[in-house]
Amino acid sequence: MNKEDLLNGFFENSLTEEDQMRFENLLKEDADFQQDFEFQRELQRAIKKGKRAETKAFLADINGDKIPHKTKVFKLNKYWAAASIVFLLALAYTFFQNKGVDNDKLYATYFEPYANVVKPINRGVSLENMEDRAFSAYESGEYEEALRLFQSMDANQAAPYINFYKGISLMELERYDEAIDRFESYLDSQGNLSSRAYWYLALSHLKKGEKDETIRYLEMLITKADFKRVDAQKLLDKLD
Amino acid sequence: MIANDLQIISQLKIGDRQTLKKVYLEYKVAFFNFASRYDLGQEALEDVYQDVILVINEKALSGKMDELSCSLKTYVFSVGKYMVFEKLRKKKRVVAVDSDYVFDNHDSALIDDVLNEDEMSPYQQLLYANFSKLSGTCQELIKLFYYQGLTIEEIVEAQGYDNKNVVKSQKSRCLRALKDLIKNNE
Repeated sequence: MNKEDLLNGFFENSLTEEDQMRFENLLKEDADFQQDFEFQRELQRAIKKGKRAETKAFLADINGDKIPHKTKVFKLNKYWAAASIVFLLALAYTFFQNKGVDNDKLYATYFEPYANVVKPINRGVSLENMEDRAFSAYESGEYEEALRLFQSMDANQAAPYINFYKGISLMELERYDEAIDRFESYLDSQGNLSSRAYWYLALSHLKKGEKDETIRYLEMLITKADFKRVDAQKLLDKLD
Repeated sequence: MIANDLQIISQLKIGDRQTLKKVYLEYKVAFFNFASRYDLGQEALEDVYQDVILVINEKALSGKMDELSCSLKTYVFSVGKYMVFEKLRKKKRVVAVDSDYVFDNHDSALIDDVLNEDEMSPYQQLLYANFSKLSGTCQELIKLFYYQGLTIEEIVEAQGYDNKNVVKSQKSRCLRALKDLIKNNE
């Protein structure tokens, strides 16, 4: 068990008695180890406090909801009624004009490339095979290069997840039709990133302004998986 | 456990705010009715009740509520009673000892932690502010491990990572990124 595992074990509460002893000795004798530990422990405290404060603010707000708003009743005269209809029509017009812009904004809010969860890349180690090189490019944000390398791999031998990462790279390059195609192929292979594929399919269709398809994939995601469920629900609410 | 409770717990586990709101409202009146006899004051009671809901939320997020051995309502009241009595004990008011709580050591640690929480130190504020600047993937991973208390193994399963090593190296990269952000801030 290395030092990193010992630290993880501490936070997981999974250290054996023997490991616990080693852990305590290192804390006393190894300044770097102690520093790492303090950093992670402070981070944990900070996040707990931050998240709790956010939750409490949310709960306090619920009470606010329940206070009935006093509604003012006033009579509209004909002039004001006519003026407000014109205003509402103007508002509706601008709203619908802006529909396309809204999709872009929503897309920008929710899209971020999926992490490389399949091939850990060790910096400094020479990257010999194509897949490693492709993921290295992908992680560095060089999506054109990543796509080129992904595509140069033999389609019959490449792992199914390659299609998924090709899809993300294509989204980064704003080639949404091809991205959709890749994600659909990935879904056919029934890999374990399929809930992620639904999410990115929804976003690709969103960017193309295809609301029905976006909603369809978001709903599939919500019924089938936990991934991004909260975001998916939020996005659905905004689209409805 | 009641089927409805299971549904609620699985929604809390994925961080669903509407469900949290539902739980908060569900037991509020009954809890206030029960606790008002201890004369803590309305404001302190609201504070205690919010803390109770925090505990429920965090226990669900950690996945440790999946095998709850009683109804959610019983659990809410058990945590609530404990918290009310702790508040009274601190005020040096003696109350009849009620020892049939339904929670284990892990629960007690969590409850005491929530009850005795102090303000963020300046350093913690700095950490939290910079944590919020990390990529979504890093925030999620750090939140799962340090806040929700999932193990590396559980994160592999929940997030679809390939194996534990990927999670570990991703996590250490995220921590390094956070350290760098802080360094650049100084």
